Amino acid sequence: MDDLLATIADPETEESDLLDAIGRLGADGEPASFWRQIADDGRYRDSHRAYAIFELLRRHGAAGMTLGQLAELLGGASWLRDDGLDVIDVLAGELPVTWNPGDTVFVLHVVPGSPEFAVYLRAEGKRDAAAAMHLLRTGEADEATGAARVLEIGFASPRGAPPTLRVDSGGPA
Amino acid sequence: MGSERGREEAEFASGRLSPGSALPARATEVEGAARGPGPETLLSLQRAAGNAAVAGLVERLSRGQAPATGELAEAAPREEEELVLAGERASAGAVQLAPQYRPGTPVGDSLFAHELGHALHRAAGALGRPVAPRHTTGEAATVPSRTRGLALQRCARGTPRLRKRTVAGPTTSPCGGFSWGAQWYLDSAGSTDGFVVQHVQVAFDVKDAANRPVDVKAKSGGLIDPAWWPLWEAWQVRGGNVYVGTSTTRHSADTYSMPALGSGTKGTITITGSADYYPGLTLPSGFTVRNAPPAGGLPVTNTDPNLSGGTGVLAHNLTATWDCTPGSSSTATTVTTT
Repeated sequence: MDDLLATIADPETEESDLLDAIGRLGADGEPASFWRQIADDGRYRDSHRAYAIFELLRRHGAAGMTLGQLAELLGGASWLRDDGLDVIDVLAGELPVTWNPGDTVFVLHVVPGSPEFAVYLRAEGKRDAAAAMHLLRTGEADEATGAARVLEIGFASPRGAPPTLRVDSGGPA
Repeated sequence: MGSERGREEAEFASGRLSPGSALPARATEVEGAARGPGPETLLSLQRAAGNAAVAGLVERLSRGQAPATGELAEAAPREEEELVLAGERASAGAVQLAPQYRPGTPVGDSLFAHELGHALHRAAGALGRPVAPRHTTGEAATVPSRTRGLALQRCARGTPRLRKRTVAGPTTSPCGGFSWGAQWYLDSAGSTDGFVVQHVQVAFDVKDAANRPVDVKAKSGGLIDPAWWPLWEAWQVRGGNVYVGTSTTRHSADTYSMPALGSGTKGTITITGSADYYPGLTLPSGFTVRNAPPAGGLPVTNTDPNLSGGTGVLAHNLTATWDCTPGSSSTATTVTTT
């Protein structure tokens, strides 16, 4: 376990080794701050930081948590740029989360300039992108936005994106 | 942890993707087929042995010839995927099928539905009704043998063909809003690998109350940009299963959805999709995942990839019509899908 975490925490670890170490991790053991520090640290490659964000959400988040709780988990999301959050309003294709016209699907672009890496959040009801962005960065939000449940968390990457977390598929791995 | 999530987690953790697991086979016997078939027996025989068997029986009975006891025997698929019934292999009037062809298995159920269609086709022909061509390329039906007794045959193993089923909606909201989810699946999927690629075009015919064209992008506040189309988008097929792009997430629904364009507008939005399955395709490098509207998480390109080798184009079309101009009797959106 410690060897695996050391591999993951090494900024020089190759991507294939990183994914291998992540895949071999047990169900629990490391704190959320382990992943948050990597995600926020510019010494790591962008993809390395992206996979850390995925694992932060996958291992310490859960479908069904509120946007406010998610913001707290992300801890300010310093990696989230001004143009890093979009809302999907039009679809002629498919997302890794369920499409429901009554809900809001946010896309977090976790690697600047690499749109292949993304986190999808399906939030209950219609929510405002600007309010969600403010919440994720500052932890502050109107009551409705902060209390909105995240029904699904989906992931996208060129390699090895984790499966979607859904309310009906349990909590953290 | 739910079983679905557990499976996907296992696939993710192992770095591989497993093909769909076959359901446990059930033993199947058709009893009494040789004693003179009634409707249930014919149905059972059709299920177990194929259309030619039923057609042969009906033909013989219509000539006053009862099938001989033991005429039906163990059937086994051969290289050409024929199910052959030979009189000399008769045994007690029961038909046993190899496990992979039995009802209750994916292949067996698909075969049953397919062959039942042939039986109905033949029945229609016997009644003098118009008969449409049975097959396109790649498949062949054969006739029963009248010299070797009843020959049970079925057409050659089918090429994987793309099909769709509606899984959500269509739903509408006033003044042009709609949503429709359709799910891809493959007939005769087997363990095929390849890509489903869909060409999508969208035509906007939107006007205001004075019949002046409406700038859709401006009217929607930038949410809808007609310049997004045409596009080509792709779903990977691994082991006969369809996935969201090249991800580990199982395909759920290809969705056509747009928000309402609001009061003061009227018109029609026509989405024309042409999807096809390309076995063995390596997706051209022009396809990229943008994680943005309108293709979402799918690999997409706006340049015609000029693909060949598809197994049959499937139409996937939607038309939405509304009138939210003053004087209109209804603001409802009407949707038709094909």
